[in-house]
Amino acid sequence: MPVRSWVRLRRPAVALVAVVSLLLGVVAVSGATPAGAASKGTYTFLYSGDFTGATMAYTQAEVLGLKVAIKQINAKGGIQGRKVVLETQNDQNNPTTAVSLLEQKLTSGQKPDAMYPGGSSEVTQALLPILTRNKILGIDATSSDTLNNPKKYPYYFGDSELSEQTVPPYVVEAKAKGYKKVGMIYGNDVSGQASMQGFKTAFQKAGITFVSASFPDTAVDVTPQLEQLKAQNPDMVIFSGYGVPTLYILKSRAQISWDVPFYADLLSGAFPIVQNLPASSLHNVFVETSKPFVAGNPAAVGNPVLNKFVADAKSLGGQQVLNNIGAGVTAVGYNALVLINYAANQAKSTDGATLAKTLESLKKANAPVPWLSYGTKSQFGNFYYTSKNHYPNVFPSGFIFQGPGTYNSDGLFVPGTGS
Amino acid sequence: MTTLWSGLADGALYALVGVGYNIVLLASGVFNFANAQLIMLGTYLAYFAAVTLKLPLVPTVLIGAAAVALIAVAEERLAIRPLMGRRDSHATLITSVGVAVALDGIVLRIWGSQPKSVPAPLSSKPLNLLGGTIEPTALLLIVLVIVVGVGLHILSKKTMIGLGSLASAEDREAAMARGVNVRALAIGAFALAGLIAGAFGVVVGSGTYANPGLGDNLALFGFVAIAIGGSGSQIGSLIGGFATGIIYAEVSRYTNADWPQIVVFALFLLILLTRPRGLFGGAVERQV
Repeated sequence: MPVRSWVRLRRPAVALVAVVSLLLGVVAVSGATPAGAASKGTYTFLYSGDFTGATMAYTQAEVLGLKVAIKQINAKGGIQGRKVVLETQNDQNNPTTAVSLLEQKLTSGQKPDAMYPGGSSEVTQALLPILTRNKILGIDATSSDTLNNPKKYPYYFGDSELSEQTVPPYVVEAKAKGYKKVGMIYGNDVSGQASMQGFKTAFQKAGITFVSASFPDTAVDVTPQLEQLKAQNPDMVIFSGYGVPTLYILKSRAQISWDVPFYADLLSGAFPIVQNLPASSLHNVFVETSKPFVAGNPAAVGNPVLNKFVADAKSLGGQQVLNNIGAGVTAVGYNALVLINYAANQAKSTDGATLAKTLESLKKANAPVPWLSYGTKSQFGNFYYTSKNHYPNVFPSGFIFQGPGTYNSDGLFVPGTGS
Repeated sequence: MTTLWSGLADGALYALVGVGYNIVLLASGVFNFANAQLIMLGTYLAYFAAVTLKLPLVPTVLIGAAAVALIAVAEERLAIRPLMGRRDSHATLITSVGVAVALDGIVLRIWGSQPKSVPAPLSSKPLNLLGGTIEPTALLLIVLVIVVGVGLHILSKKTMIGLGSLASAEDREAAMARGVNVRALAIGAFALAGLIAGAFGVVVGSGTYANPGLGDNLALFGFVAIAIGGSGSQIGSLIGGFATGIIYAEVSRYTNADWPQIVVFALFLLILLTRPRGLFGGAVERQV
């Protein structure tokens, strides 16, 4: 037998590698918390998120926010007298895994009263048909406008801005600077595509030329995509990515010595950019931040709800999360349960369908409003949903562009500081 | 030209993974799916040594190389060796996938999900070269991967160890009967693959960052590299890896994100259909 003929013996193995390679993307390990059936005495809130993957840091922040809300709500007797219990499932940001875990829970009679259906638009989109079928109330922080469909998903509400709602400040900025052409580089997933579509529509409506380039989530370098964009000569560039792609974008930008202004969208802006890049790479880079979470901003100073939230988050061991991810992301978990509790108090009920209807006609809250994100007097937006809009109403005045920064010990954004 | 440099730098990563696959494949006939995760682990150890311990470059490289080599040997002893006598040759592939998943989990548990910056061994100021720009460390990566790939090719063809490895991979029992220490060769192959993966931690990590998704992102393209180049051929791994990187970069330059993977995998399928053993894989004699 010739020396190389061993390879023949390995051909089935090579074929198996191909199969394993394709299957690897759907292999996941369930990290679901063992859960008993939701009893009538407790109000079960299920969180579906990525506890072990690349987006685990965001999960930690959202879960911390939920725990703070649970602490505060249970201290006042729970939701309509029912103590809130948090259950979790580790979907690893994988829609297939998320659906499988939730179906398992439902078939074993463990229907939650409400849930946070995923840390990304992809996962939420996969879970919503199940929520609708089972009349489970869902609130989370996705940004794809395809999810804002009350007719199709009557029990689902968003508690952070749609991509398109964060766009107007960029248009104002571009107009103020006299830019005629705007470019965008984004990750080619549901969130990135939704973000790009929002920017494209807004800029074109404003008479500004819009060009874009996208990269797959397997990219280890985005230089070719930036070269493609650079060749079209935009006056400013918006970038969108989740975690390490944000670094690849700015690193590639430095490599090709491209110095036009780069603006992070909310997704990229939430990432701690300055901890991972030298100052020389951050010249002319801006992030969009939400005023109520900027240190020293009048919208954040003296907010008693925010102060209590931060104190409780620290008492629950959340200091590191506040430092790394900030109070803004943490607040979306908090807001979800606070909104449910507010609706339950108004409806005097904890029934999912009833609460969904109530959320569409919430009574105006007195200042300071019980939730975070849009100012104590709702001056930057509100959660007053309607039967046609299940996402917050957000005003452009709530956003500000600043240099990349870090978070202080309260989780508030401090621009222009690195570590 | 900048896009070409970018493709070569990415291709060097894919080739590096392919070279690691082939080292173990040639010596023991095992496809070590965890090799890309060993490279990822090398980037984290580079971060640990250079940033956490604040060590200079040489100790950083040595620590990474030694530690990953030890982990690769442990993988061989615990996840591969116990299955080597079995008729089911696919069992080792499954356990190596298990090791890959375990390594992903371990780095997440220790270092968390946020990427870590690995200091570049050379200046980060881009070089202007042949009409394009490239970071000096990326250029170093390309050169080092070529040197390692060619060196291993020569080693496997011109030395007794290399020839013994080929004999062992071809027929383990016959090689043992001829006095070849197949166990030592297998351990040596895992150790060498780990040593290279760990030593490259600094040059790889300074470009990609130490991040938990790196192993998965590299594994598939490393496999494509050896499937194109020819499994068992180190030169084939180099050519397959660089070809994959260049094609991917050039398609990315002129199309949207949907196309690069489609084009690369179309090429992959075309080669599997027309030359199932890859561009540099040898012909197989049929027993009649």
